[in-house]
Amino acid sequence: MRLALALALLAAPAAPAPADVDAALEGHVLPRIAALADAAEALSDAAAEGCEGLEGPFRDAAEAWAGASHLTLGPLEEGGRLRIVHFWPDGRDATARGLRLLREGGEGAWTPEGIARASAAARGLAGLERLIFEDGGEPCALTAALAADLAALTGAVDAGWDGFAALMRAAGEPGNARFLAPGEAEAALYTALVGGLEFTAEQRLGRPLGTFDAPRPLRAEMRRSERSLPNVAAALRALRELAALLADAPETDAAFARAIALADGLEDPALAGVAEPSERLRVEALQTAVREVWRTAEEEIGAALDVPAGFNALDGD
Amino acid sequence: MRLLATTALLGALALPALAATEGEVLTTYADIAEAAYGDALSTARTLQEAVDAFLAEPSAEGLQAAKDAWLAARVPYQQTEVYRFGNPIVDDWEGKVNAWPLDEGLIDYVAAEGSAPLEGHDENPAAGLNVIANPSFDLSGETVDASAITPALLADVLHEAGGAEANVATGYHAIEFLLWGQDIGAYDATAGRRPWTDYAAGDACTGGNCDRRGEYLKAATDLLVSDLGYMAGAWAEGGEARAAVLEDEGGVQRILTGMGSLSYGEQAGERMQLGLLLNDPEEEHSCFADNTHNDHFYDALGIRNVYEGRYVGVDGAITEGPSLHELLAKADPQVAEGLEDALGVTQDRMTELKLVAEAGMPYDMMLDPANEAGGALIQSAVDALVAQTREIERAAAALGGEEVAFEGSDSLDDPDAVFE
Repeated sequence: MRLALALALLAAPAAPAPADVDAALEGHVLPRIAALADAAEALSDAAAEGCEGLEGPFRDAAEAWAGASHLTLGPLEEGGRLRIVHFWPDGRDATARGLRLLREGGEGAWTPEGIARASAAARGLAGLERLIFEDGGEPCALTAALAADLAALTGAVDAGWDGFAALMRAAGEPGNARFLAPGEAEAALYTALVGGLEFTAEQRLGRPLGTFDAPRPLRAEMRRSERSLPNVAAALRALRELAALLADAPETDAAFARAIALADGLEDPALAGVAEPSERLRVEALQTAVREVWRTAEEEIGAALDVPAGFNALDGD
Repeated sequence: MRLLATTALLGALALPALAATEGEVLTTYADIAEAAYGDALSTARTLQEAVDAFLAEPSAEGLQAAKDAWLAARVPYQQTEVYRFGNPIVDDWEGKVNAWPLDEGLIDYVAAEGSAPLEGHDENPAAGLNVIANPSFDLSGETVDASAITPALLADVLHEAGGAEANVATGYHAIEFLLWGQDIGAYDATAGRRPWTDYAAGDACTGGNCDRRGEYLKAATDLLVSDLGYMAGAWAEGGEARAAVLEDEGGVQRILTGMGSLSYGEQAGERMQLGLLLNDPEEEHSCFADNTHNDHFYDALGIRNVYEGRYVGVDGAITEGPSLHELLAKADPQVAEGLEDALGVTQDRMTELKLVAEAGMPYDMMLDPANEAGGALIQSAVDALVAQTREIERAAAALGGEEVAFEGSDSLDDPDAVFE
């Protein structure tokens, strides 16, 4: 709400420039989703061989996820798949409970059907991270089953994007009930961009930052695999890629460059430094820079596209 | 949702005739809030009387009367939830009365068979504090004197202690836990089965510390009444929430923000899809009382109330007036019809959930991963909420035009004419 008026005052473009939905799909969405499916497949292949040495394949999958986690529309929205691929944040330690129930179920329950019915918090990257980084990949059969489940899930998301991309390209055509006008496909991609920036600033960075008096390093995303900061950097790079394909937005791109430089300059992969005053300042500076990207993108790209951002999952928080 | 008014600015038609209607729509919106929060307050007072009577003379009948009063109080309150996200005054306050889910081990004893955390974890080191059993304890490195359980202790010390949202010490769900207790049998037809003797005097006391449990229940109920009193006043004539809406030239977008945010992120996402994904029987909004089907039903009804401009009070009184639907129908009849239809579909899906629950399959049974039909009922309601969100986005875009035109005509034309 607070930005609405500012935007209304600032924006005075002669005519909106239609975003090239096709370019965004080909140059960003489809390759990012495919990379996620490929990384999950590689993790699954490695886990099928044995439960040692899975740290590298896990981190590769996390990197791919951070580059695709903003694509919450379409196949990842269906049936809450987004939360299954990586269940986070987890305010009530549902991952621990879900894994406990899976362990209690025993190997006989670790079938594809059994895993598919298990708690989403134990499935996907959240459960795998605990098994791989806390328990050395044991029990191996469970790690392998969870990795295979993740590969199947992300494979289905990848396959689902064929049809959903066709719907986006055909926005406004007769019979397209999902996208009634070309602007709706643009708005959906723009919502993904803005939602991804908000999630990065307020969740990935905001949760561990907490407040100065009460920093929360244990709340950092994927702290066990030390992917907290790398996920921020990977997300920013992916979002920058999407932004550039949506509109000619030099100020947004410059803001991205500043934020990415700050992320790359930090050497605190688990963001544990939020509890130490000097290091904390640097994480706060990064958060400020990401918020600046968010604000700039809303002003520059929102105005250029002449589309409103839709609702995202954080709106109900 | 950032309500970008850029759409609005461009290509908008100036239709000053709609301006007066917009003011009337906002008045209807504020009137419904006043009526619904007023009902929430009066039913909470009834709950307070029932709790006082029960604590004065604990009995099975007294506990049941308090439970019945709690259930009745939820009917109007849930219909107010649509006001939360569009109104900062409500959103800043809401956590005191309806925060959820809770690590109930903060408040009282919990059993290992339940699904609440038994001890502290990454997000909430205080998850197993058990205030009722501990007159003194350490919280975030400081010793807390909890020898007297007062509204101030609950609101100022315990609620969201340590910055953990799951430390819910106040509001409907804390009271629900104190009345019903944990729902132990996962996926079965029972709700929480706290015995009334948890409040009994002397040797009859079960669960320990019955006097402190009674103090807690009393403090939480009194606090609920005073918090609801504040909000009912804020929407009455001259109240700050009413004034903020009526003064806001973008007020109609506020209504849509509230509708969309509750539909999508909150209800479809956090409250419904998440429970289905986790299969956690505590991932139901009223997990102790098994009243979740009603929570969802009345949330959805509240969304429709503010769109249709009509609210039926707990005493049967009807509050109605010029509606957002009428305003939207003037701007874009197709979008108005699409939104009305989508809200109708959602209400049908919620009715299905409600009737199945009332026929003996409570919401936590639907969360059982082995219950395909139950899960499908929840999923179809989630899908309907997601679908209605798209229509709300379309409505926001369709009404954006008039809104800025209204601002323009305001300054260009005779401003006094607008509200005549």
